[in-house]
Amino acid sequence: MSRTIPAKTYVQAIERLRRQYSQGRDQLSELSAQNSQQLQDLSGRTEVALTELATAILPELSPAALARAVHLSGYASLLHSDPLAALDKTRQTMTQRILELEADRRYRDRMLLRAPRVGMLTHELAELEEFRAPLQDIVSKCQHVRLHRLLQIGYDTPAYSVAFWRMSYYADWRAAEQIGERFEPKRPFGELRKDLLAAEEAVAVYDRKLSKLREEIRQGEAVEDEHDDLVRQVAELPQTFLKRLREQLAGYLRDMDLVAIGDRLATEPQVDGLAKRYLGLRKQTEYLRESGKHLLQNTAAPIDQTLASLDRELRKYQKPKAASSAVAIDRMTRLQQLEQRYAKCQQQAARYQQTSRAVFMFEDYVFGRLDDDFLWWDLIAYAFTQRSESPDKVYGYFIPEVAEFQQNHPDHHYRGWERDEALADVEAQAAAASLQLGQDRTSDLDIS
Amino acid sequence: MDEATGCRILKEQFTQAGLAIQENYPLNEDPICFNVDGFDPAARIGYEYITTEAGDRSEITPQLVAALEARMHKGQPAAQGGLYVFLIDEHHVKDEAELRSAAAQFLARVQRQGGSRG
Repeated sequence: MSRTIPAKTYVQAIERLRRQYSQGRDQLSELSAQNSQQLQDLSGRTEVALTELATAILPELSPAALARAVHLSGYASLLHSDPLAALDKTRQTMTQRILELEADRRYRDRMLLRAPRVGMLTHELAELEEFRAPLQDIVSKCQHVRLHRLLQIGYDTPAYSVAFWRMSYYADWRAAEQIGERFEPKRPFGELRKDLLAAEEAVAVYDRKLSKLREEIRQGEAVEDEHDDLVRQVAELPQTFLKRLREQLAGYLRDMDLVAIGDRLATEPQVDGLAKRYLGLRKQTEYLRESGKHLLQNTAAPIDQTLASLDRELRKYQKPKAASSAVAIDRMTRLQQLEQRYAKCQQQAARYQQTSRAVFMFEDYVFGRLDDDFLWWDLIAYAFTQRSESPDKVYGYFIPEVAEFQQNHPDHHYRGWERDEALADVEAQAAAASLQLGQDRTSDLDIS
Repeated sequence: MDEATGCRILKEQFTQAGLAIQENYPLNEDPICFNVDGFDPAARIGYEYITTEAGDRSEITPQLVAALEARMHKGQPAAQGGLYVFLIDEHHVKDEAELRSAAAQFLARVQRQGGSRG
C-alpha cells in the first residue's frame, strides 16, 4: 500500500510553490526591462564613441588629413572620391548661382520693391487692399442664402413677378429685409442691388490685381530665400563635406573588425584609445544582449510552464470532491523537485544581475587591446573582480564569442592589466587630448 | 419641415383666422382638379403645402398651378366664384415662425382683395 498525504496539505504546498514561481517571474520581467534599458544606453554610447573615433581619424578636411585617415582606417574611398575637388566644384557652382541671383532685379532692388511699408510693391499692395475693403464690406454684408435668387428674379424691380399666394413671395421679402437691416441706416434691396453689383465687379478687378501683385512679391521673396540659403550653404560647405565624410567613415568602421587595423591605429595612441573605447562598448552591448538571452529569456520559459502546470494541479485538487481525498506521496516528491528547479532559476537571475553589473559598469577601455588573441570578456570580468567589493567571479561561457575563444585558446589565461598600467595611463591622457584637439580643429576649420 | 407639420401649422393659422378648414378637400372646378391640403369651401380660401414626401410634385403640375394662378389673378370676391389657395413649397420654408408669419400675411392680403373670412 502506497503512502499518501491529505489533499489539503498538498494544495497548501502547491500554493506556496506557486507564489515563489510567481515572484520569480516578476523578478525576471523587471530584469528583462532593465536589460532592454541598458542595451539602449550602451547603443547610444557606442554611437557617440564611433563619432568621436571618426572625428579623431579625420579631424579636418585637407589632403594631409585625408591621407592620414586612409592610412589609419584603410578606407580608400575617402581619397578616391576626391572630396576636395568635389567641394571646389560645388562651391563654384553655388557661387555662380549666387552671382546670377544678385544680378536679378528682383534681388538687386529687393528693398526698393519689397521693403516693409515703403517698398513699391508692398505699398501698392497695401493701397489696393485699402481700396478693396469697403467694397468687400458691401459684398460680405449682402451674403444671404437667398441673395442669388433675389438677384436672378429681379426682386424689388418691375421684373419681379412672384404673387402673394406663394410662400416664396414672403421668403423673398424676409431675405431682402434681413440684408437691408445689416446696413446703417437700413437700405432697400432695390437700391442695394446696384451697389452690390458694382462692388462685386470692382472687388473682382482688385482681386485680379492683388493676386498678380502677391505672386510678384512671392517670386521676389523666393529669389531672396534662394540667395540667402546658398550663401549660408557656401559658408558651411567645408563643414558639410567634413561631416558627410566622417559619416561615411563611421559607417565603414561600424561594419568592420577593428582588430584588422589595430596595428595602424596603435601608431597613434589617442586614436587607439578611442578605438578601444568604441570596440569595448560594442563588446559590452554584445555581451549584455547574450546575457539577457541566455540567463533571462531561457529561464522565463520553464517558469511559465511550471506556473501553468501548478495552476492545473490546483484546479484539480481544489474541487470539492477532491478536497477530502488523499494524494500519493510521489506528488509531493515532484513538488520538491520543482522547488529545486526554482532555486536554480533564482541562481540564474542572480548570475544575470552580477553579469549585467560587470558588463554595464565596465569603463576600463584603456586596458583593452586590438589584437586577435585578446578577449574583451576577460578584461570585463577581471575589471569587475578588481573594482567591485564582491569576491565573486563572473563567467561568460554562454556567450558564443567567449566559448569560441576558449575553444581556440585552451591554454589561455588572462593575467590581468597590471603589466599594461603604464601604457594605459599614456593612452588615457592621449585619448582625452585627442577629443579636445578634434573639437578645436572642428571649430576653427578653414581650408579656403 | 415635413408634410404633416406644415399642414398642422397652416390649419391652426387658417382656423384662428375664422375659416372652417376641411382637410384634403377635393376641389373640382375644371381645369382645376386636385385634393387641397386644407380648404374652406364656403370662404373659398385654402392652402396647399407642396412636399416631395407627399408626392405633390406629380399632382400639382405646372399646368394646374398656371390655371390656379390665372383664377387668383382675377381677384374676384368669393361670392362671385373667386378662389384663393396659399401655395407653399417646402423648400421655401425656413422654420415654423416664418410659415406662420407668411400665412398671416397671406390671409390679410386676401381680406384686402375682397376674400371673405368666417
